[in-house]
Amino acid sequence: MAEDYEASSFELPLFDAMGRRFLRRLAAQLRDGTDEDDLAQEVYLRLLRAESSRLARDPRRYAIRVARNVAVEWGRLARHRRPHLELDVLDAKAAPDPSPEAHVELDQQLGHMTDALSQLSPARRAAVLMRLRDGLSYAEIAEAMDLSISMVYKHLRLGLAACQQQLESKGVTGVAIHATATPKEQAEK
Amino acid sequence: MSHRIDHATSAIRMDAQEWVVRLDGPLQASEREEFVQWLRRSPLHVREYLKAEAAWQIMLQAAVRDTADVDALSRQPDASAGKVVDLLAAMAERGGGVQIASRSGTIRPGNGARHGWRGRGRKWAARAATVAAVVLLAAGGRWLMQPVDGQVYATAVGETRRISLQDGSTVELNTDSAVQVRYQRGYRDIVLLRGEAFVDVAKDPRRPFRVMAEGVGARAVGTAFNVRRDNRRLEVTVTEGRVEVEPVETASTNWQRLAEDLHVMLPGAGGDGAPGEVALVSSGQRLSVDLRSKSIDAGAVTHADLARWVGWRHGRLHFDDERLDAIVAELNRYNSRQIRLKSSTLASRRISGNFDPNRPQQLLRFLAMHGDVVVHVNPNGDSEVVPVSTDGKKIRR
Repeated sequence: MAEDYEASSFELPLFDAMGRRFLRRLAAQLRDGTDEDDLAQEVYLRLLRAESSRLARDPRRYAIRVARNVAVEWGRLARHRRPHLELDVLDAKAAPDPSPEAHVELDQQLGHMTDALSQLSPARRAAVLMRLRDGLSYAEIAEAMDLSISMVYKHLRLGLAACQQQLESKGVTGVAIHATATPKEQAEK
Repeated sequence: MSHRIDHATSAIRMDAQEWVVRLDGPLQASEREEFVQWLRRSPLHVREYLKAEAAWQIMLQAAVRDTADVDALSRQPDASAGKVVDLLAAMAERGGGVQIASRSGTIRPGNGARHGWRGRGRKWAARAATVAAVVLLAAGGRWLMQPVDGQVYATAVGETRRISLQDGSTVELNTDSAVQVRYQRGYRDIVLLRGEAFVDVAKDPRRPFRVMAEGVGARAVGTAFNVRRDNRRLEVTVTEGRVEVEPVETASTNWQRLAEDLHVMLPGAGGDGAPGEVALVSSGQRLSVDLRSKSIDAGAVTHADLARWVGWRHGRLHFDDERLDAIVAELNRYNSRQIRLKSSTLASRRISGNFDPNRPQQLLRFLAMHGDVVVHVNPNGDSEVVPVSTDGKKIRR
């Protein structure tokens, strides 16, 4: 099919650097359930407004971009309206490098994730590494491991599930904007 | 920090993880559309998707640092230390999967190999309504208690849907459309998020019915009318009774728009905003409003060809001496396989006709009958209409 595309996993060129950074910070900073719901709510409404054909062209990139825009806008607003707020914002443009704290947090996350990876079954870990580290396509992994493609998908999916669960049990994942006033709080003012 | 989540959430989480993995591989257009529909199902879907995508990014980082030898790994038997985590994941999967299956009918096969992705996707789509309902219940008070986020109803490309509301009013959604229902004490509000809807309003003089888009509202007490929007315009066509079109609230910044989205609209809003001209649109009339300027011009109300503007409800689109590019744009709304005109003279040709929006081939055949165009179908299913001279040679523009 002419329109098929396969994203190379290694650097995920699918996202620009800002999109990648956003996602990593999202994971680093987002923890308490309240804000993540606000963010999701707004992203959801914007996705509903989007033209379907544009959204369907590259839904992944589109959704991430919308989420990042919301985070950036809210970050600016919060800074603008309440200068005294402690801000640890996801504004990739304004703060190109994560703060030292964020670095520590990222390191911690990576540590948990590394643990989670090493605890996967050997076959699952191999599938994850071939895809994410070595950049093999799902079809190539299937061939290398002598598995069906759907089995490879399943390994990746369960690998992700295990790793995400590990992060959450350590209290690190969660999508929310850390220390950023949510629109609701501001509006109540 | 609790990481216990209810079953509906865990089912959505697993779907989100599955989508993240699938999105990282080759996807066909139909699968991308399927994902869009899934993602648009609820804020919870969006949240879980973002979380899974973030976890995937960290996993990517960790994998890059992992020095394990893949060949060595594949020689190891699968019964090693890692089992515990795997088992947990598997248990979480089974628990959630079974639970959601009994409530929504979405059965998660134990063995992915026997069930293709595609088939499963179709099943999801068919159950969308049920799942959305389950999700709303299970997502707990949070989404329900906020007066702001009412139920959202949406259609995919090519789909129509009729919704009966609690007061007896009905909303018919045309292709690729979404509305949010926000009934409150003083008002029955519908927000047109995208696309087109026909509303038949049950009479209730004490509680006006409003359809709103980006700060422009169409207000009625008991009538039937059609509203359609894109990013630039809102079009109101009235088939019965009378509708007032007015600015609802001027939203000058994203922030205000957000607040407007997240909070209840003030009844009779617009009070301190724009002078607020009101246009009265009566049965058989039509008004188009610029959503950016929001200026309402009562003089712009025109006579409406109802068959043209509301014919979609009966699956027919009537065109009377309209430009071909406008007709094609109209048909393309209903189909993921698009028609493209490869010449400007073709685009400005005027035709009349009566077409089934879900069968764009009708138009293509109609055009081909004239003998001066050929239709190429691309591998992705799109059709290109190319003019040819009478001797059959392609004409370069």
